[in-house]
Amino acid sequence: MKYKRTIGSTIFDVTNHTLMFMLMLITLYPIWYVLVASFSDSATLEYYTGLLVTPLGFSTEAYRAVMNNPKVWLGYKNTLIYVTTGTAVNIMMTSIGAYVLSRRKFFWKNIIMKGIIVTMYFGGGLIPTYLVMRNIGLYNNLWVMILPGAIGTWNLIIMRTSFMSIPYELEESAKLDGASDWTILFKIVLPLSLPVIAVMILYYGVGRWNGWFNAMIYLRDERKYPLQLILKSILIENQTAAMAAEEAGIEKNKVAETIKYATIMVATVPILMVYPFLQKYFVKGVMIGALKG
Amino acid sequence: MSKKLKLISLVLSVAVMISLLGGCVVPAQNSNQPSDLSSTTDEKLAFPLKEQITLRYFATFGATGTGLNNNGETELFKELERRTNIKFEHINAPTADEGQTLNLMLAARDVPDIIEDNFGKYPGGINKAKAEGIIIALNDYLEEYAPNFNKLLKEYPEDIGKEISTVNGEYLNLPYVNTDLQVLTIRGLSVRGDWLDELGMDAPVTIDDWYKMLTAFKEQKGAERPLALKLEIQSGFLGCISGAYGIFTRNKAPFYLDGDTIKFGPYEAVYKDYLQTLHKWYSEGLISKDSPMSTVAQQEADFVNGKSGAIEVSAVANTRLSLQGKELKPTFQMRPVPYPVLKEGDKNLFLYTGKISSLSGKCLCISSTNKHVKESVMFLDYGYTPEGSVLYSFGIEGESYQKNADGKLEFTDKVVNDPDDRPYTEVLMKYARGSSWGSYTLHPDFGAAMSLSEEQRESNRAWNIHAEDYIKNKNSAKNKMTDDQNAQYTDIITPIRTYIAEMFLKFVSGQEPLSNFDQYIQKLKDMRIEEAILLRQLGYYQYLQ
Amino acid sequence: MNNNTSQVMTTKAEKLPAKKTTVWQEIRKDFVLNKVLILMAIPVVLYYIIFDYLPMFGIVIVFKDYSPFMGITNSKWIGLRNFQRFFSDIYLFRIVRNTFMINLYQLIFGFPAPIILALLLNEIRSSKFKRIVQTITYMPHFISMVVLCGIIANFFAYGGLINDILSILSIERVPFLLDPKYFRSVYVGTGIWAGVGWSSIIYMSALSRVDQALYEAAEIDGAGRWRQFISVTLPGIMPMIVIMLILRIGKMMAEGSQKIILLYNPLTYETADVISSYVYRRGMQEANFSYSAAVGLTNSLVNVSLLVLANTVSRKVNETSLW
Repeated sequence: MKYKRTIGSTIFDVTNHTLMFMLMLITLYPIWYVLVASFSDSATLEYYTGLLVTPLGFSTEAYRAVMNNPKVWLGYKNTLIYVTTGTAVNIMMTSIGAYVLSRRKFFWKNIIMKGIIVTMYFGGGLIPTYLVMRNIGLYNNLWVMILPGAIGTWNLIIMRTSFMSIPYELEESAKLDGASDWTILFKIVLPLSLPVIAVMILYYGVGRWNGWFNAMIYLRDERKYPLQLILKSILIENQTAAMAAEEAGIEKNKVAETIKYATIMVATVPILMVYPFLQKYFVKGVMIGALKG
Repeated sequence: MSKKLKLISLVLSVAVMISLLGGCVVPAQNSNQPSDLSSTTDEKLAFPLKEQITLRYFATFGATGTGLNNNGETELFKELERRTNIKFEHINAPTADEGQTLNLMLAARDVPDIIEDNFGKYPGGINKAKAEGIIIALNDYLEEYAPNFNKLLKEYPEDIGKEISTVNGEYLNLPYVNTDLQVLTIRGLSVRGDWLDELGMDAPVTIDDWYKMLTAFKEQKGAERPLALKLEIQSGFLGCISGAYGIFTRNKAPFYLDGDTIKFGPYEAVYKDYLQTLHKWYSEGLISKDSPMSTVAQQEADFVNGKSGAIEVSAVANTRLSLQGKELKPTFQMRPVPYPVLKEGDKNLFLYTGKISSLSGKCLCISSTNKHVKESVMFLDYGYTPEGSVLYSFGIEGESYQKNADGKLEFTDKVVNDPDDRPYTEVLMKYARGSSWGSYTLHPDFGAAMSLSEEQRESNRAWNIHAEDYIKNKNSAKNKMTDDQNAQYTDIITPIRTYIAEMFLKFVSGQEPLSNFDQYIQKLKDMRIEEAILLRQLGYYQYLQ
Repeated sequence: MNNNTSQVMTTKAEKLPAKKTTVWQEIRKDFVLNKVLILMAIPVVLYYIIFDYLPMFGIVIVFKDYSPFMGITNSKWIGLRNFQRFFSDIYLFRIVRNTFMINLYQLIFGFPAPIILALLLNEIRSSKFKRIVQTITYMPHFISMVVLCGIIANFFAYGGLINDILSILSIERVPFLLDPKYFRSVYVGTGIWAGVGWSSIIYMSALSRVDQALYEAAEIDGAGRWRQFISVTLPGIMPMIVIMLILRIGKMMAEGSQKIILLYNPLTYETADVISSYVYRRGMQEANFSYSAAVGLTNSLVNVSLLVLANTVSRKVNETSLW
C-alpha cells in the first residue's frame, strides 16, 4: 500500500518498531532458555534458580544421551515419512472439503457443515475409536498415522472461509467457459489461495511432526514409532531411572534435567526451520484482477 | 426446515445403524474357567519343562535408552526362557501410555496370558478385573506350584499375607518382596551439621529446638528459606512435624490408626496446635512465601546452595546432597536428625517406613484365558527361589554381576561404570530388574552392593531411634473395601481432599485466621467426614479378617 | 370491461406464489447441476462417518458404569448417576465459574491480541524485519508447556525476577501465583505471551490475500494511511475474524487442565480450579471413564449451544457465519 508520510505516520512507525523489538525479546527468551539449559551441566542446572543467560558449565552430555540412541534417528526417519505423506493427504482432503462447502449453490453444504461441527463437540472417546480402528484394520498398520486426522475441522473451516472470499464472478465466468469443478478448484481457487495453503501446510505439518498419541496406542512395532514418542519415552524413563537410582542408593549422574531440554531442541529445531520457507507465500500483492486475464 | 430435518434424521439413523454394526466386537475368547489342557496329573512339573509352551506376556517396558524394545530383548528374559523352556511372546506397552494400552487390549477382548500390571488404570482396579473374569485367583495353586512363595506367606502372614490379599482373601498377583530391610525408616529430616557446629547448637530434638535452630539459620547464617519444602498438606517434611503432635498428615487424605481406631489427621483437635506452630514459622519467614509452588529440584538446590538449612530426604539422598554441597563448600555437612517431638522424652512414631511386600509396582498376575496355569504359577514362583532372586536382582553372572572375595554378589564394572555415563539402573535393565518391580524377592546382597556412606549410616541411626516402639504400635491405616464401599468413600472424600488442602494453606499463611478453626471443623462435619472415617474403620476391620 | 378482467387476471397471476418444489425435486436438480461436487464430497463425508460418527456410539457410556472388558453393551446401566455426582459436587459452582471467567478474560484480551499483532506487522514495510519478528514470536509455541510453566513459576515467584524488579522500583512485591486475585491475569497474560505469535499467522495470511487493487483505488481516492486501514484492511480480514470469534465462543466452557495444574496451588484454587483440573484430581483416585465422559458431554452441550447462539447472532448481523 502506498500513502503519504505524515508525522503521525512516522510516530506510529517508530512506536510499532519498538513494540516489535520488545515483543521479540520476551518471546525469544523461552527458546533461549531451553537452548542454554540443554548445553548445561545437569547437576549444576538442577541446583540453579533464576535467570538463565549462558550455559552453566558447558556440556554436551544431554545431547550425547539423546543422539547416541539409534532409536532417535529411526524416529526422525519415521516422522519425516509420516509428516510428508500425511500433510499431502491433509491438504488434498481439506481443500476438497473446503471447496465443496464454499460453493454457493450446493444443496448439501449446510447439512454437511453442521454434521462436521457436531464432531468437534461430541465424540465416543478413546475406547470406541480404538475399537473402530481395530475393526477396519488400522491396528498396527502404518496408515493409522496418515488417515485419522486427514481432515482437521478447525483447518477445514479456515480454508472454507478463505475460499469463500474468492469472488463468485470468477467461478461464474469459468463455468460459462465450460470449466468443471475440478478445473475451477485447481486452476482458480487453489492458485489464489496460496497463502492459506501455506498456513495449512504449517499447521498440519507441525501437528503431524508433534504427533505421538496415535502411534502409541495403535502401533505395536516399536520400529515404526515417530520421533516424539521416542523422545517422550526417553524422558519419562530417564526420570524414572533417576528416581529408582535414588531409591536404590546409587549416585550416578541424574541426566534427566538437561535431557528434557535437549529433547525439546532435537524435536523443535527442524520444524523451526520450515517456517521461513513458507513465509514467502505470505507475500502481499496477489492481484486477483490479474488472474482474470 | 422440516424437509431438511427429515433428511438429517435419515442420515443419522443410517449412521447409527452402521455404528451399531460396527460396535459388534470380536467375542471373548474364553469364559472364566481357566482350561488347563496340559495337566498331566502324574508327572511332576519342573523347570525346564519337558515340552515347550508359549505364553503371551504383557508388560510396560521402558528402557528406550538402552535401545531395547521389549522384555524379550533383555538378557533377563532370554535366560528365563532358557531355564524354564517357556517361550514368551511379548506384548509391549510404551511407558508414555498412562496405562491405556492394557485397557484398550481388554476392550478388544485381546487378553494376554501373563499380565505384568496392577490394573491401576483399569476402572474398578484389580478387584474388578477379577470379578469380571479377566484374571484368576491364585490361592488354590500356591501350595503345589508356588512352594517358595508359599513359604514366604507362612513366614510373614501379616506383612505379606494380609498386605497383598484382596478383601475376599484372594491372592491376585504376587508381590515384590524385600525381607532384608536394613533400614526401617527410609525418609527423614537432615540439617546442616556444619552450621550447628558453628553456632554451637545441638541437633534439635523438640519443636522448640527446631524453632530456635531455624531462626538462627535465618538470622546468622543468611538462610533465606530455612526450611526447604513445598508447603502442602501432604508434605513429607511437615509430616515429621505433625508426628510430634501425634497425628498423621503425610497423605492427601491422611487416615491413620490410633490403637484400633481409625482417625483423620486434619480433623483432630491437636491439628490446630500444629497449624499454629506452622503459622508462626511462616509469618517469621522460616517457611518461605513461595513454598507452595516449590519443587524438589528447587529444595535440593536451596539446601546445597545454603539458602536452606533443613530438608526432608531419603536415606541415600544424604550421600548425594552431601557430595554436591561439599563441592561448593568443603565444610558442608549433612546431619540426619531424629523426628522431632513436643517435649523431651516424647516419641514420634509416625515414621516413613518401607514395606516388606509391595504390589505397587507391576506385579504378575495370570489371566483366565491362560491355558497353562500350573506352569505359569511356577513361573511366577521362580522369582522367589534363590536362583530366581539372583537373576531378577543381579542379572547374569559374569555380565552384570560377579562374586567378590567374601562370596557376596556385587555389580560388574560394565554396569557401574557405563562408558556412555548412563545411570546404572538403566544399564542394569538389560540384564535384570534390580530393585524395581516384579514378582520376586530382592536378593539380600543387593543392599550391600551399594556403598553405604557415613551419612546413610547416620540416617539409619537417627531416624530409627524409636523403631522398636513403632513396630509395636503400627499406625499406618490398613484398608480393604468392597467396590461399593469404595465408591461411597470416594464420593465423600474427593471434595474433602480439596477442602483440607486449601484450608491448610490458608491457615498457615494467615489468609484464614486460626480463630475460625471451629468453623473449619464444622464444615468438615457438614461434608460428612465422620461417615468417611466410619467407612475406613470398616475397611480396617475387613483387613484384619 | 375486458381490460379490467385481464388486469385483474395479470395481477392475480403475479401474486401467485412460485410453484413449491419438493425436497426430492431440489435434490435431483442439484444432482444434475453439481454432480462433480457430490462426487468430491463423498470422501470427505465418508471420512467423518468412519472416524467420528462410528465411534460416537461410545457416548452411551455416560449412562453406564463402563468397564473396558465388559464392553459398552454389557457394562452396567446406571442412568444419570454420573451426572448426579457431577452436579451435586460441592465445588460445582466454583469450577464452572472459574472456567467461564478464565475464558472470558481470554476472549477479551487473548482473542484480539493476535489480530492486533498481525495488523501491526502488516504495517511494517521492511519485509525482512517482518519475517524476523514473525519467526521469533511464534517460537514459544513450540516449547513444551512444562518448560514454559517452569519459567513462568520462576519469574513470577514472590522472590522471583519480576518481583525483584518491582522492589528495585520501590514497588511492593506481588504474590502473583499465591493470591487468587492475580491468577487469572498471570494465566491469561502468559498465555498471550506464548501464543500470540503463532495465532497471528492465520491473520497474516488473511491480510496478504487482500486485493492490492483495492489499496491502489483507495489511494487514488485520496485516502491516507489510516483511512486505508479502516476501509480496506479491516474489512478484508473481517470474515476471518468473525469465524474465529464464533469458533472461540464455542469453546467458552472448555479449558484444558495441563497449564492450570502446573501453575496453581491450593492457595489459588478459588480462581484457578477449573472443571478439567478438578475432574483430573478426582480421576487420580479412580480410573472412571464414564464419569469423565459425562463431564465432558455436559461441557460439550454447553459449548455447542453457545456456538449455535453465536452463529445465529452473526448470521443476523452480517453475512458471515458457519452455516
